[in-house]
Amino acid sequence: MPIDAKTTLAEIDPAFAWQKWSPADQEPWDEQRVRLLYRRGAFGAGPKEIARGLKEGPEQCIATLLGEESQSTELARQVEVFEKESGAIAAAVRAGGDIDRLAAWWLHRMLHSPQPTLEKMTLFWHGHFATGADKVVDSELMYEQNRWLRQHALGDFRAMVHGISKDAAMLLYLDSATNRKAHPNENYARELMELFCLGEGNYTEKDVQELARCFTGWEIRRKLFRFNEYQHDEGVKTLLGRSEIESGESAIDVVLAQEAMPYFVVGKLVKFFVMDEPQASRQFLEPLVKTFIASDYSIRHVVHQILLSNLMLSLWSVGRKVRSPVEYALEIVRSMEATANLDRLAKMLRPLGQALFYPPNVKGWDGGRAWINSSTLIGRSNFVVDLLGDTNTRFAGGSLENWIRAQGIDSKEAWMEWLTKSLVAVPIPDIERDALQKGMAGRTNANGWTAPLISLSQNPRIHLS
Amino acid sequence: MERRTFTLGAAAAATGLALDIPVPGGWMKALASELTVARGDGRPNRILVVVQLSGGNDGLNTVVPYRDERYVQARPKLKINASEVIPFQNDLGFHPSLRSLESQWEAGRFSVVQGVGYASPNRSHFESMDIWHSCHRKQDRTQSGWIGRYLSGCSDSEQKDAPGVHVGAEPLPLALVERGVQVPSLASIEQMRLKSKSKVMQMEEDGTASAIGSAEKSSVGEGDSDLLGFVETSTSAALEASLRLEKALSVPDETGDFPSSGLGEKLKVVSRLILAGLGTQVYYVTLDGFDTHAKQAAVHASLLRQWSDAVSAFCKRMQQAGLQENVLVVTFSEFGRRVSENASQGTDHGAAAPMFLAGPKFPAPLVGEHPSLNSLDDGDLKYHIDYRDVYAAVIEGWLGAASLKVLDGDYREGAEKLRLFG
Amino acid sequence: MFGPAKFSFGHVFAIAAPWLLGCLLLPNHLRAQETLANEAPKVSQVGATGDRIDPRSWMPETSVLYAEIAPAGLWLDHPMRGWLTSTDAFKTIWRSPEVLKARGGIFVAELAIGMKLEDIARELSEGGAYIVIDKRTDGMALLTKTSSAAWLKKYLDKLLEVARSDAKSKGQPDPVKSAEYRGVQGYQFQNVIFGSIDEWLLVTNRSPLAQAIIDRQQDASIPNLLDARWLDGFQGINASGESGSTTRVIAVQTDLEQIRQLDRGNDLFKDQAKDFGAELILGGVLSVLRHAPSASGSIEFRENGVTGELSAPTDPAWFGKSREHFVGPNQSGRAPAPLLVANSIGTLSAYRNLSEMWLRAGDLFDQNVNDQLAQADNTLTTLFSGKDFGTDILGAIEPEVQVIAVPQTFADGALSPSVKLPSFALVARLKKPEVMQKELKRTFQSFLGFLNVVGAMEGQPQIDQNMDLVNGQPLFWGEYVPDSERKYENGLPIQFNFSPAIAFVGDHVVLASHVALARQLAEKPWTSSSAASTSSDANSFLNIDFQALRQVLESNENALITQNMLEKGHSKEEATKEVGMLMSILSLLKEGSLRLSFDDRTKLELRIDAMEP
Repeated sequence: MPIDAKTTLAEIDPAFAWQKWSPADQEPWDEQRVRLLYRRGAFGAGPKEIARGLKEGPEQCIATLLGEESQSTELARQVEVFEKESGAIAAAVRAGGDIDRLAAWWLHRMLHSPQPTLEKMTLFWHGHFATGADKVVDSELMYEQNRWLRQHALGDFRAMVHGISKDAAMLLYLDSATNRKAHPNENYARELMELFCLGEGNYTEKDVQELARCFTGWEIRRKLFRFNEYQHDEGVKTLLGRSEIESGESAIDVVLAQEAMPYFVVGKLVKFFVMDEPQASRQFLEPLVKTFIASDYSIRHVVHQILLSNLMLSLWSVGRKVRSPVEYALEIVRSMEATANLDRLAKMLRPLGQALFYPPNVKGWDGGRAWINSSTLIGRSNFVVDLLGDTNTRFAGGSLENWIRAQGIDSKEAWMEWLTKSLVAVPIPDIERDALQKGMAGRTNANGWTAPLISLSQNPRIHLS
Repeated sequence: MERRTFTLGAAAAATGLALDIPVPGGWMKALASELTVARGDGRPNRILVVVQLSGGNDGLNTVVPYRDERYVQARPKLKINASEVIPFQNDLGFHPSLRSLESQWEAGRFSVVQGVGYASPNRSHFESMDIWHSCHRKQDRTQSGWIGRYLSGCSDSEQKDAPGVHVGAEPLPLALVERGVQVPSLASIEQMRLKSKSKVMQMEEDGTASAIGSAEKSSVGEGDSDLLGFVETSTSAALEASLRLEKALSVPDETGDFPSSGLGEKLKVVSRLILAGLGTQVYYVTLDGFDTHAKQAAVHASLLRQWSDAVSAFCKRMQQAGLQENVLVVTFSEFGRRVSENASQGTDHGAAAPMFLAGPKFPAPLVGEHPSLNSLDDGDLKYHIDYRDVYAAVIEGWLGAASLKVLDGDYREGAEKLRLFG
Repeated sequence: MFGPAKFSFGHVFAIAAPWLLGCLLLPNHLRAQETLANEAPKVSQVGATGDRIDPRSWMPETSVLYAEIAPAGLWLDHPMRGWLTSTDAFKTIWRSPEVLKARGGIFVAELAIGMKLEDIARELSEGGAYIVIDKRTDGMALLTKTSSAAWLKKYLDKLLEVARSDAKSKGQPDPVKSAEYRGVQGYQFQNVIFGSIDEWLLVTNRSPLAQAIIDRQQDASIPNLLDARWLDGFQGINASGESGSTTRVIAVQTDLEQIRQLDRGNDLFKDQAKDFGAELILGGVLSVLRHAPSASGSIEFRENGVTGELSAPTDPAWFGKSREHFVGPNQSGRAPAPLLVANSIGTLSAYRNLSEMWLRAGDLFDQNVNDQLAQADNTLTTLFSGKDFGTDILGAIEPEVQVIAVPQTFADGALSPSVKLPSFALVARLKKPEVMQKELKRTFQSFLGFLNVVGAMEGQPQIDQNMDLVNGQPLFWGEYVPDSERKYENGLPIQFNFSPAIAFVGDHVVLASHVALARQLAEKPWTSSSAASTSSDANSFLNIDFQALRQVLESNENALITQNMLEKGHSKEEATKEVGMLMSILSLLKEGSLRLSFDDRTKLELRIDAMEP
């Protein structure tokens, strides 16, 4: 039962959608699919990664992205070297305390980590458990939270929630640094259910009040979590139909045990990896929810299944997501094996609407259509102009022209072909192709190689993944 | 089609046809508003520009009861003398730095709402500013701002420009925050200008944006969603907006008197975005430095001059473009300052203070009474107009929207009484 | 287009570059062995014979800048070169990829022409090189006196042949255009026009300028640069050297009056500084630039270093009252003698009446800056608990001030900050020591208290306040206390570089970023450093010990490498190399100084000493 681009979500059988995809004559394991996986599961890929992915086949390719334990010792060695290097950068950045620098450090990880899906998932959780440095201010707390998110990004969802509930940056961001029994603070209690675990409609206002009482005595003092037992409300609390709740921790367990929880979390992952629209029904998510529960809420298992699914690799998912600013920027950089001034790159994301460590509010980035408006679109084009105009931007260590030649590309037309193939997910109709070629015409100088990319940056299709 | 009408509008502005002509009758007003709509692009008929004076503006030395004996006594060193004030009525005068706004005042296009504040005033900058932004005293709910909530209520899928724009390099003010609403911060006009203009130049030559978007639709996402169609129309809109902005920028600024101060630059950016016909309805700018604890006289005079010069230049620019009835500037600060000056020739955090409106013709130049110096609240002026009444008046009377949800309360009665707009 | 606004060193460099590069890059052992091995250095012919031609007599009187550059031989045979090319640092740089690439290019060019670049440079400039920028023709020209007319002809022919055969091999038309003017054969290749007049090579970017030069060469009655008054008193490359210890390699003079006219509309020569910082550094110089008829500059080689000088004639009336804070009453302001502090990175000493400058700001700056200053005044006065910043704080000290920088040492094993900054001290004399000591002490203490309150609100570490008597005089300081609940696995935060201190030494006040430096200054009697002789009669004086600077950078090597990785996107290897290169360059330098003085001339003198050979 093939799924093609015209199939609506309602027409797709959920069981088939999430089954493991296998190559077939009609649907071979090809470059387009490797690119798709690297776009969704990572931050794009350069020619070498594409070639490796083709050779590896789908399962191994996904294992590489996820840095699976079954991988070779070679990967373990790479990870060790990389972590040492990234750790050294982090140490220097933390000493300075500059949050913009911290964003540059993270970009370095996204660009160079041998486990790119881990970074992508950390970004996902950063948007899920959104915490903004504008309010937290302290870069050390932002760093600690980021480390926590990464540590659990592909792990047990419940452990992550327990940890984040005591995270200093999170509680400061939600004005929940104090929570006394006389005035239970409802902020964190509400967001835990609405935004982090269950979604609206799966709890009542009364539950919010009761959960807030469970968290009384949870405080942040001198940037550290502490439990002030004298401020804990010892009275009987009834949360989501349960009444023997001994502590804040057991209250979190009650929330996590709700039937709605796996659907909410898995639904968000599907939106993140597969499609912005439409929202998947509970029934459609059912197979993934089963996996989630059966694996003891292992995020890795769900992500693995999504990436290797028929829905993903039948190419139905192509063009169903708007690239986030981070994806847009890094995919351009990575596809051309570029290196750039990362401090500047971090700042350049701001006008595009996704400054790392500065989500717009506790709901995180809305994503999808919300990424797009006049000012962010102008920003996306200007980003390319700025990136190419920066003398620190190099391509595999050299000039763009040398890099292009090294790929065996010898004409502007071939270069445009390469660019559309590498950066544009959905096919460009001939009429637009002509327009793009026209935009390049008359540019024969050394900068001629940048013109096609700049021209492409103003084509709507580049914004779809 | 749109481009042609825009050119007409610009030409009218350039020849001075649309300079500040008082609008006597309803029919002309109607015509003016129709002209604005016909000027095409996505520009809303009513635009709101909010100017935030951060740090707590000394309202008492801005609108000065210079003849009041108690004022003279409370401000031995900082008082503005009768010889210096710009007197207007009721023994009140403006700080001399407001000179540039005098012509707006005389034209009935500048209005003062006196004694604005809220009950049990909070004297912390951050908390009071949060109260003004969120309309909530205690954050029993993760925060959002009143403008953010307003913008979320009028979100329109056809609208391709950001509904609100914050001009400035500082963090996005809470007032503009709401889930699902993206308000960009523009550090400079360059952020709205395409660095590579060859495509918009092409559009200009072809007379259309059809180089993109009009091509055959691909089959992506058909039935479920049309993301491709969405990014295509959005891109056209962005390129058109950028083209209009380039045109607006290429018309020399005849008034040319935007001061080179920070606020002057910001309001200049706002004026250009408005003239470029952006679909944005609310603009937000701030001027910091009003926390004048020491040696207030010089710094306050300088800040007020920056503010009044920038606002009056902005108003003139709007008048020149015939938009004087379409753009409202509202100025506020998180609190006023204490009545008595301190020992460092400064003033400390206070409570009630005036708000200022500029732009269209106002029915009453002076709204409310000057707070009495006779009856103080712990040394501070007492408010008698709730700030949310003013917000409600702006939302209902200017923006023509419902204020209940935006303000999380019913302030319509108070708003009604203020009669801020015609 | 070569517009009037585009005069820049870039142009000078573009023309001078070939042999400057040759001089700098070619180490001795790469020199052409076959010809030069036994040849003694040739004696410069300029000034050697009676019928010496002054190149100025060929140059148009409408020029606005004139420069002389010593023969390449003088650069190439300087004793420093042998030492420089033998250092490890040089060898590292010499083998770096960037240099290798440039060397490859040079090698190819040498092959094509059949001569070593170094030899070309020597022959080409045997009698010196002379540069002029002309206002009327918007052009720039270079005249060099080569070894002989015959050699020059051979060289030019070869050059033309290479250019033509290169074009031919690419199937392009003849790239060289030629024309004759009054018997002189001129060529144009791309934007460069060149030709020979006897043994002189003429290169320019404008043909009218070439014609103007040929006109004057043939007809001495046409007004020429020898008539230009702004060039009066010009000291050419042959002017110095009596002492024998220095060699003048570049001399330049410019018509400031014309430059000011060309610059009209830009604000480069405005009397007002753009901001407070610019006034603090440049104020007096701005007055001079605005009025002086001309300015000159020179670079001289010494046995073991380089000296550069920029100067302009100066009239005291130009400063008026408004710059008295900078030059002092009747230009009497003198920088204090730099103090001797062990292992210091450097000292900046200057005469600056800061209080006067602060209070005079209304005249010195435009409205915008004054608006900002009014706000700063408000903040600073609040910060200093109601004390007026201009009168009470800045007014407490005499205008002779100095700032000393010293690398900090941290005990091994103990917690130390992960970024290690040097410590700084400001030293100034108090106007009324008996009154001001108490005032400043109190202000200092309430300032630390203020930092604690703000720090507590922002979760920053707290400061412990201490006091001690050193030589009977008080020393107050604050010390950051590590938070016992935090782990600091990456070392302490950057604040721990600071331990703000105030000490009183005699009638002086010492304000230091770290108590160790304050204590060091308070404990021992003061003596002037060896730089004092050079600094006497200076208005401002900066000296730097490059090895101490290197020490600071080296203790932060990891931070520098990280910064390089983030700023340039470099890999760790690339970043390590680049930082290593910086250290290598620093290891070649011993000390440097910058000296600003006002007399009948305003002089800015730069002196750099290399390490001992």
